[in-house]
Amino acid sequence: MIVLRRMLAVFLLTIAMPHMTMAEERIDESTELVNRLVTHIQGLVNSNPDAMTIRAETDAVIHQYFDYDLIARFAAGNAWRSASDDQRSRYKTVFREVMLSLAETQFDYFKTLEYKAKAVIPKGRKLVIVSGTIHDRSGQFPDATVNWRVSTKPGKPARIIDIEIENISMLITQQQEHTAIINQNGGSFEALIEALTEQANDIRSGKFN
Amino acid sequence: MMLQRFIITISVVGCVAALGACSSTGPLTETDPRDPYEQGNRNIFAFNMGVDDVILEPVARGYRSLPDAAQHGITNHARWTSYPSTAVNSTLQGKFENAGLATIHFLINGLTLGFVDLTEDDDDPVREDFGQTLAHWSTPQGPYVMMPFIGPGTARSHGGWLLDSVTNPLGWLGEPTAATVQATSGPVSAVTFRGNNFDTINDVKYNSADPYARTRSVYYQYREGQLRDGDTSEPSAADDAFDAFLNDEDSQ
Repeated sequence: MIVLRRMLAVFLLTIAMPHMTMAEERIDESTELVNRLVTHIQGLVNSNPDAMTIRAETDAVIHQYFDYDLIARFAAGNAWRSASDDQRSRYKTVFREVMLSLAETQFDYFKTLEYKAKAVIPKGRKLVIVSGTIHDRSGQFPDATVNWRVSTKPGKPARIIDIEIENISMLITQQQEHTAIINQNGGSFEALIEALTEQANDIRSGKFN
Repeated sequence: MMLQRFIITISVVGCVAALGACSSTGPLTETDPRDPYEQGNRNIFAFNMGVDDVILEPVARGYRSLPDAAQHGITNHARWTSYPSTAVNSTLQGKFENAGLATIHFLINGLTLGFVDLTEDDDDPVREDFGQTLAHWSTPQGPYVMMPFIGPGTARSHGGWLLDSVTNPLGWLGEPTAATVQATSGPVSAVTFRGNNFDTINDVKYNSADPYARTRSVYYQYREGQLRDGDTSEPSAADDAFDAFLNDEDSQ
């Protein structure tokens, strides 16, 4: 009976081991990705870059650490399916432009921020949440919890798809805003592209600042 | 007290009028099932943005130009006025430790009307309102409602806010200082909130493609966080949305 139990335990461990290792690998890969991103941004902040460098570096950061294709598809919501290839391509270009313009105009905020890693939580097989705290040395903002949602699809490199600050997901917010614009305009994907083009122009023109 | 009653009356009357005006517009322009009165809400939102342009943003800008110590003092005072309500609602939700903490902070800091935090305690009470108590009692949240002056919420959270305004223990003290503190607590909280979140709110106001939709989305997510009390054992609405999206991606 004892031998049988041992055999069963060994058998179960043999089955479970590869899965445990895979889970650990996903956790390590996700943590490493976020750490590299934070180090990258800190390096950029310390180099006192000009507007053009910020723009170019942000573009490189999106390419290197984020799954932009997945982000764009998620942000467009259900309308993505019915959009033409041309519309999808223009949407991706203008949405990226909004992100770059925001990074350019709001880069100063990063100068006083510090990030401290806290926990890593796997969510299902394709997602890992890397959790940490942002501390503002200037004291302007209180400490905030940040969750990085990392896509860990089997066979693909880990990539960040969302940043959640104090329970507010950047990507869910974008999706709900984009869906509202499409629905307000009778389901027109074209209207969303126009609204984003206008938004990018407004941000660049410094209406906010 | 008069001022608070005035704001409540204006808010409720304005809200009913705006929602009534839109009740015949139908679901054509509805962009979120949680928001059946969207067109009326958008009108009220535009009104609130006007109030923000003319009053709140300039006043908050002035507040931000005050020395740090003065800003901290006013923020402390605004938080202090919410402690009685936090104590009551924490008790109603069975969060007795938080209720005790709020009571202690209220009593000790009451020596300075809350302007100075005498407790020097890192463990601040977590704000609890009647809307959260109603959620704790499993009251349905109802539709999304944008209130004049007050801002976004659900029928449940606005109902809770109304109950908080009426049942705030500060009002039971029946003496002039408490009455003044209670009467000014709304506007003071509004200014400190706007001032302390100045850039974040301006970002939504000026940098969004649809500020109304973004405000609604942020409101629901932030409120969910408050109602979950930081509990991550159950997946959040965002976790579910990403899970469904990634599964859907794989099935294509």
